[in-house]
Amino acid sequence: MQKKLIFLLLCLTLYSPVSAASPSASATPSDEITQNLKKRLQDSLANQFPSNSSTYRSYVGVIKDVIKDNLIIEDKDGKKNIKIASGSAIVRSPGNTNIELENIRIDDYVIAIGQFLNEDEMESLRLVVSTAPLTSTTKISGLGIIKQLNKSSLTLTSYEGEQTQTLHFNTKTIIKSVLGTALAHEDLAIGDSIIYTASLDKDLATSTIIMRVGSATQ
Amino acid sequence: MKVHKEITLAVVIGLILALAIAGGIYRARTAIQNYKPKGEPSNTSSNSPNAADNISNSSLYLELESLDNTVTNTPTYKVSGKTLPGTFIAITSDKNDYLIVPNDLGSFSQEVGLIKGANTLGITVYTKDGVKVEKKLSVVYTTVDL
Repeated sequence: MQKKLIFLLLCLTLYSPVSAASPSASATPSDEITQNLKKRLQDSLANQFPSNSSTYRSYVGVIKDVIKDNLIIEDKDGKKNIKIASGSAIVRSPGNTNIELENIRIDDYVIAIGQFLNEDEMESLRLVVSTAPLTSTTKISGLGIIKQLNKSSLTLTSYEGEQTQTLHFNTKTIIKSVLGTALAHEDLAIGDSIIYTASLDKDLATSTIIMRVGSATQ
Repeated sequence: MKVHKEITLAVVIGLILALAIAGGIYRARTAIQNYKPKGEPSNTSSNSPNAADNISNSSLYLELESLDNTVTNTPTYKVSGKTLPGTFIAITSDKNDYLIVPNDLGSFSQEVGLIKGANTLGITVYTKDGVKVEKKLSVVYTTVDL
C-alpha cells in the first residue's frame, strides 16, 4: 500500500507544474511558424493584388542603359530591368510630348509605370522621361536639444553633442506638444528636446513642424 | 513505532510536494515574465512603468505595411506600420510633413498628401535618446488612364 502511494506521489511530482512551465513547453516555435507562414502568404498576396487603388506599380530612377526595348534603370534600391511593352506610351516631361523609344537617353530620369514581372523586373505601360530630376528630396527631419533660441531661428545639438543644426521659423511653422496641443514659439526654451521636419533650400533649413518631446523644466 | 514511521514518510512526501509546487510556480512566473509576442522586442527593464523609458534598452525597428513603388490615382496615400511604443515618427513628403506618435502597441497610420508625379516619402522613427531608423517609400500619383 505504501509503495503504491509513493509511486502515485512520484508520478504526480513528475507531472507537476515544473515540467509544464519549462521553456520547451512554450508555444512560441509553433506560433512563430504560423506567423511566418501568415506573413509569407500576405506578402505573396500583396505582390499579386496590391491593396492600393491601382494594380499598377512603378519604378522611379535614372536610365543607365537602353538595350533594344529594355531599359536598365537605377532606383533607390538598385538596378531594375524595364521591358517596354508594345504600345507603351513614352512621354517627355515637361510638356508631356510623346516621344519614340530612340529618343530616350542614358542619364535621363524616368518614371516607369507597369506591372512587375518578377523581382527587379517590370513590363512598362507608360514611361515619363526627363532631363531634370522627377523627384526631389529636400526634406529633412531630426531630433535634438535646443541650445540657442531667438525669434527667427533656433540651434539644436544632437544627443551625442557632435552635430548642430540651425532651424529657421516662418509663419507656416507648426509647433506642438506630443499630445498635439498647439504651442507658440515663446513656449520653447533652451534645454527642450524637440523633433522636427524641415525643408532644405541649399544650406538653409526652414522648419515645417516642431514637436516638443521633452521640456527643460521637467 | 509503525505509526511514527508513517508520519515521517507523510511529512517527507508533503515536503517534496510543497517544493515541487513552489518550484513549478516560480518557473511558470519566470516563463510568463520572459514571454514576448512575436515582433515585440525584448525589454530588459520591466520595472519601469513608462514604455518610453525602456525603449533605449530595446532594438528599434520599423515595419511598414504600406507598399513601396505603388501607383495611385488619389491625392493621398496611407502610410501605416509598426514600431516601438513611446517613439516619435517623422513622415516627410514633397507636399506635407507629419510628426506623430505610435499607439501603445506601436502601430501608426497617417494619410499623406501627394503631389502629381513621383513622391518620395521618408519615414523616420526616433527614440528619446536620438536613435533612429529610416525607410523610404516611392509612390507615383497620376490621373492618366493607363
